[in-house]
Amino acid sequence: MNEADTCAWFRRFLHYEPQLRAYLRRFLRDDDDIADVVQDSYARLLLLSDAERERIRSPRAFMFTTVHNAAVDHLRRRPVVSLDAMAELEASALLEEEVQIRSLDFEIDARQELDRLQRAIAALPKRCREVLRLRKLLGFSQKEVAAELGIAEHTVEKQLARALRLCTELLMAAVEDPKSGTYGSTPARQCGGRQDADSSD
Amino acid sequence: MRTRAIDGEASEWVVRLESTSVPPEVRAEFEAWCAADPRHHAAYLRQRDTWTRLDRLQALRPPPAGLEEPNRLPLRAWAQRRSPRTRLPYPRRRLAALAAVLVVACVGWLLWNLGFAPEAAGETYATVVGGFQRVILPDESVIELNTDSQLRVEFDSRRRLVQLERGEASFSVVRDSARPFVVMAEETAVRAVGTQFNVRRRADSVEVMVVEGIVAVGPREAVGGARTLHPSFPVVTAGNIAIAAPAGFKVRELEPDEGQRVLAWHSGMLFFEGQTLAEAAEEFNRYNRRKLAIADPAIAALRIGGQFRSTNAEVFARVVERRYGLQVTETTERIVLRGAESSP
Repeated sequence: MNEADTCAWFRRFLHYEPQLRAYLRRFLRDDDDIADVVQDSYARLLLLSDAERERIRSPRAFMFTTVHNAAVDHLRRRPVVSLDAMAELEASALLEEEVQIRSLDFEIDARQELDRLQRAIAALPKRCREVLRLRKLLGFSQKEVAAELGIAEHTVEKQLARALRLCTELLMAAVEDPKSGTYGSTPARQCGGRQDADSSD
Repeated sequence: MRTRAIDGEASEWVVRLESTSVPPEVRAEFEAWCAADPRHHAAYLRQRDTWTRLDRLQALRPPPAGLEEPNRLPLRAWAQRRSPRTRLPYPRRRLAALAAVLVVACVGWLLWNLGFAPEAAGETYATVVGGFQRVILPDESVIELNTDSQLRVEFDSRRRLVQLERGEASFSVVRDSARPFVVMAEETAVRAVGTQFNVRRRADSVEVMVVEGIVAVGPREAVGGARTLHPSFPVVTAGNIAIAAPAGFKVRELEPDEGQRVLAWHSGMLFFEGQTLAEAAEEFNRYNRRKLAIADPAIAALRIGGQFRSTNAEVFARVVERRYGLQVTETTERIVLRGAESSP
């Protein structure tokens, strides 16, 4: 696979990250741990041979399994293994199917995608936001952004990279923003069995 | 943390490789970086995907007006308006320039000393009824604002100050021992270094729930000249909630599941476990313009449980109607709950 193919292929797996993070939250409390496990899973993906890549039928199922295994490895590597987390993770092997069924209708249409992007940008620190707006929304080059804001090109580059990283974090955060249009169609959240409003007491 | 460092490098590579000309040696350096660790390559592809997604924002670009590039027009026009039309004779011009430099330097020095370092300019964030907003601060601490809330962020070189002017917010604070993070709400101040907590302004009290780490809570006046709270004030540790009211200040341990219940708003939910119907209605009313009203004191004390979408009081009303045999009357402004026997 060449770089462009890899890029397009890899994208198919990125869609599920917000759901995967919501799933991991059940066993891993620390956000840094979740980030490590997710990154580890993507790295495992890239280590597959072309033949192995061909064999993947459902990217979603593949990612849930990979993330699950990476989380088990992650917990085992810890100096003190929390038995709770391990037990929960083992017990949840079956939940995966449930997560998938509930997330079948996970599709982001163009309008929702635009909302998500706008919300992410609105959350950025002021400086980052300005630089990113000029570069991506108005299509200025880095040099033009630097001239417009009266700052060094190097600073523009730094701020852009930071804005990009923060946007990725925001877009990939465990789906839990109820006001985003994706709420109703992403029940892989912490509703875990309680989503039935009748289950009082 | 390691993951974040890799993400930082990956995002820098994306930006660098997207600039106009990339010399072959930079390209080679990038390839070596990618090859060094599959996590590097993965992180790059992930950041690059965001970069591509951000291109969709161009759909929001205002439509071009005339031949001039539209979006730069106002800035250019503004710059031209400010360009000097009347020029002073040369020696006086030099004098004027010198004076201007001096004034700017003095004012800058003064402001700096008053604590107004760059980025000190405050920013206000607000949500409407039923709203939610996540904000990343310049130090990458994260604030989440609940429904109908407003706060003002004032950062400078000595302290990170947030004034919670209305409502409720959660804070995930990045550690910076040189610059304490202080949240003020009414007469209460909360000081944190690196921690996670939730602050809610109620009608007559302020509640501070600590999720992670430790915060100090004290009266607003205790925040002195440096505008930070002295660490000797009562500390509240993770798993506790502090309630500051005019009557006094108390700290208690969280009940099981209470933390999850308090923070259910992060996922747009309300979570009840033995609260009264009156308390539940009050919670729903924070999130909705259409208010839940209990017309019958007999049912107000009914204990309820369950999890609901906070912006959907109608569903809640239907559930209690079915489950407790209540009567529900809906108007455009109100949803009224009555006991089954009482006549409307």
